[in-house]
Amino acid sequence: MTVNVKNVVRMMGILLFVIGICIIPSLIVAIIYQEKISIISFAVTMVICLSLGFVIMYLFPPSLMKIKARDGFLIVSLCWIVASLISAVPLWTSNAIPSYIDAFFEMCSGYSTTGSTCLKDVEILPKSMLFWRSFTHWLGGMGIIVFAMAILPSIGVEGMMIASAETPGPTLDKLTPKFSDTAKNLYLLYMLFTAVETLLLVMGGMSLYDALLHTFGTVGTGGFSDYNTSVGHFSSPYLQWVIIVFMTMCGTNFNLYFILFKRGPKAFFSDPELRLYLAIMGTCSVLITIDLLAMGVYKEAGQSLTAATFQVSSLMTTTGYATANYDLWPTFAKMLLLLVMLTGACSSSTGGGPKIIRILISLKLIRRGVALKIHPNRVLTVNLNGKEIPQEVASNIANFMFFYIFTVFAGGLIISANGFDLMTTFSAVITCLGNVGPGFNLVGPVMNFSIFSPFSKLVLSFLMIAGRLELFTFFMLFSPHYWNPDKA
Amino acid sequence: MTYNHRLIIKTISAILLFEGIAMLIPLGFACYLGETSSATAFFCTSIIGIAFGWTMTRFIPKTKKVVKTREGYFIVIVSWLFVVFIGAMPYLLADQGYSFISCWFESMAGWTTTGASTLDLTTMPKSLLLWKTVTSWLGGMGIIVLTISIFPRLGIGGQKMAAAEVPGPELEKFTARFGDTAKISYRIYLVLTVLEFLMLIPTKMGPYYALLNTLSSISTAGIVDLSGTQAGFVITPYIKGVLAFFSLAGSISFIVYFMLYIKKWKAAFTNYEVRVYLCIIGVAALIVSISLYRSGMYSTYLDSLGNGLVQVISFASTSGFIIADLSKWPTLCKVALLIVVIIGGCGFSTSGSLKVIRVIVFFKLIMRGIYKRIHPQAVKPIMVQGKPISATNASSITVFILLYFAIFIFSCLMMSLENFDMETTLSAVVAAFTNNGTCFGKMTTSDFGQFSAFGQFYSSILMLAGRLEMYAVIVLFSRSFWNSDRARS
Repeated sequence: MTVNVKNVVRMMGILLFVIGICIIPSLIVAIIYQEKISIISFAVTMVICLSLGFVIMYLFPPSLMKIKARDGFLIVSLCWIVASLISAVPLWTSNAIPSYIDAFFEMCSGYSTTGSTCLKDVEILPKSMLFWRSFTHWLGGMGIIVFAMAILPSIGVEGMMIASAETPGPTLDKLTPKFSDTAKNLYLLYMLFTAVETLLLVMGGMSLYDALLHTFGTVGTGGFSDYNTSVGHFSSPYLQWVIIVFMTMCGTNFNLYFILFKRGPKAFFSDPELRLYLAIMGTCSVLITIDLLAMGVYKEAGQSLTAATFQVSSLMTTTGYATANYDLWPTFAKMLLLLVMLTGACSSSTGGGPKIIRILISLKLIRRGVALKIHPNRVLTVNLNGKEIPQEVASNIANFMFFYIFTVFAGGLIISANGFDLMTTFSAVITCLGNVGPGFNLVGPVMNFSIFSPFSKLVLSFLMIAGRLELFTFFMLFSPHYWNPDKA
Repeated sequence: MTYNHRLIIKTISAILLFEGIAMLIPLGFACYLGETSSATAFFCTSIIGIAFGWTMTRFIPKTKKVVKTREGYFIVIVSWLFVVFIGAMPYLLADQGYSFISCWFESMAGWTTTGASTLDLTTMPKSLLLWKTVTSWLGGMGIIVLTISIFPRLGIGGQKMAAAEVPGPELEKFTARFGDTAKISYRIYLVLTVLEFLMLIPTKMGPYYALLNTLSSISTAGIVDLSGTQAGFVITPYIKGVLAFFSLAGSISFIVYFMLYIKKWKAAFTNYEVRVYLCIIGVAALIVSISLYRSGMYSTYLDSLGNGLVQVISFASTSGFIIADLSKWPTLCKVALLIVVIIGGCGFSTSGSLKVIRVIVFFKLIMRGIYKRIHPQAVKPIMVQGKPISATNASSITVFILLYFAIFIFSCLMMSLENFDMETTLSAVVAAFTNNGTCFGKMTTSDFGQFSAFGQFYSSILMLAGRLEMYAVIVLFSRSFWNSDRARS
């Protein structure tokens, strides 16, 4: 086995260092609100991370050995698990979450931008801890490693290899020749979104603290809130629509924004993935609005439209905020919500799920397959945006969809040992794997994940990370081929 | 659009002729029991079927044109719709006050071996119940296959028509002419049926129920409720065992029987698909029985194992008979049963759903996906039983599975308009689409009567799509099917 151990360890050192730095804002919040226990646990964790990271980086200088695609998978998976393990420490030591497994679950949920919680009451937590929880969304949304690249461009590893294992979606467009430049551009845009949304939310009457927390949850498409009723705590339609718009924007392929700047809106809106994304979102919102009105859940059309659109965009971008207990909605509305959970957001966005582009290509494959059944000797290609999709890419995408289906059923079998009803079991798996947040029945929008056994929480935590890393990156490590690759 | 009209009409009339003949069985039975209204209904329908079928087959001259694939689909779908329609007539004419949609559903559930019902089977006249099981026996092997086995010279395109009806991907042929395959398959089917009937005769259920159970278990329809409330006889472990065994036999690839028939013992016992199928059943039965035992549903482990195994076979073969109140079973059992019902039985059997062979390819494709990501340049074919699967077959299976889940999700959306709870909605779709007829939630009793006419109609179409492996139904919604003579980009 020839995994580049030095590089792997070095990356872990860098990661520790970066996490140490990322704790600083939460520390400041703790100081502002004078939460003594939190200050201590943050400070201790930070010092340990920084010193350990520094020592490792010193001991393992940048090696000249190239990183192979295979090493990238290991580095990324390890990074995400280690990041969750370490970030859970402040939550646990400050006794905000007494059980370490719960804290780990919470952090996996944070970094993978899932937003599922196993806390029965989030409002009793110290404010700095809630801030830290939401801040992990912000970090995880764009990718921890991309973040590391953006702030430390000369970390001495080939970014592209690693980042491709982390970035959601089937292909990674090269926007700039050097990946660290792309990472920097992405993060600049990301920060711009964050700043604008915070400003808009503050203008709408939120406190700066609430605004920051909900911004982190929105732009990272995470879904942690500091209120038990989620965004439902704020009844102002203005605030809800701001969040809707930003959720939708962050569920869009970020590379498209560069196209928007360079080539104008026409090129932006001609992207087939974006079109399908907006079409599904629009159709589902309208259908749910009508359904809610017809079944008498809401009396006013405006109210119904806001609630429906909020829920559809929240679940489709895999954010997972809720303004209403949609579990009480009619079945047709719930089924549509389940459907958008299963499509997910666009590739290269901060959202999760199988991604619209894969759904689009799967549909095209189906259409081609049916046409081939009628005329078996026809030669048909699958085209996207006027370009032919190579066989290889199409088969990768079909593979991914298969793996996704398989993971849902396998996860369902494991989680079902808890003995909850079928909808709870499967929606918990779907919501964790798709990084959405809430599910149905016992894990519905007003419920939480505290009911599951510690083992199930662990399984769900790994499902979240596996879902965030697009399954293959994570599950590949369990394949004998991975550890035995030099043998044919 | 040009069609081979003669061939289409000829096939349909031949099938109607068979249907008319098949109706003589329940007709005789109705006369014997003195159920006058059903006897009249059977008599009228049967006469029409036979007269129409006989004249048409006599007077339409033979055709020598080759059947195109597209026509194959068309013939299959039209034949099935005709057959189901005519099959619904006895229910409607029997003067029991059934609505047309219920009769249509009943007939569809019979022919597609789903075994679900919208009516109360306990009060249904016995001859009608017999008719339902007879239709599922015929539908189990396929009506086109039946026609070809009796009229091998019906057309040159038997293979193409049958391809649209026989379950499972076509990876190998066992005889050079499809007519021979069809004939041998039906012979095997008949032998198994007789065998099961003889084994059920010594029990206390009597010949009538023995026949019902035989016809519905070998065809994996599972109409008769095994909780025994309706039949008025005690369900002994022996009966459960026999029914489960023959459901299993019906869901095993008929290629295996053919191998036994031509004395290729080794090939028969090493059939990869069947081995995997038995493994799946074994593992699922183990999970279910342990979970049942731990939940304390049954006092001894042997009881849990026996009942677990029977229930797993019933779901894996998509028969869907019920031996206990499933709604009280632990969730782990339900999920395990759900997984086996979605996998379904072997290809070229009487069962429905995805088929084991496709699931094998599904897994191998995932494994290959992992391998390809580790070694991006590697060339790795999918191997099944030492033979590589061609890219065309692999991609056709891929499309099938994607389409399967796409239809599944779409159907959930359609059924959710009925506004039942989520579990029932999903269960109804699983029950209809996999031809199992039973699932969880409010579907544990196979009772589709709780749905509105729209829901019943939609699920009947879903059953047909499931039975004909979707394509025969789906191509009807494709533009190039209706417009195929013109080249289209």
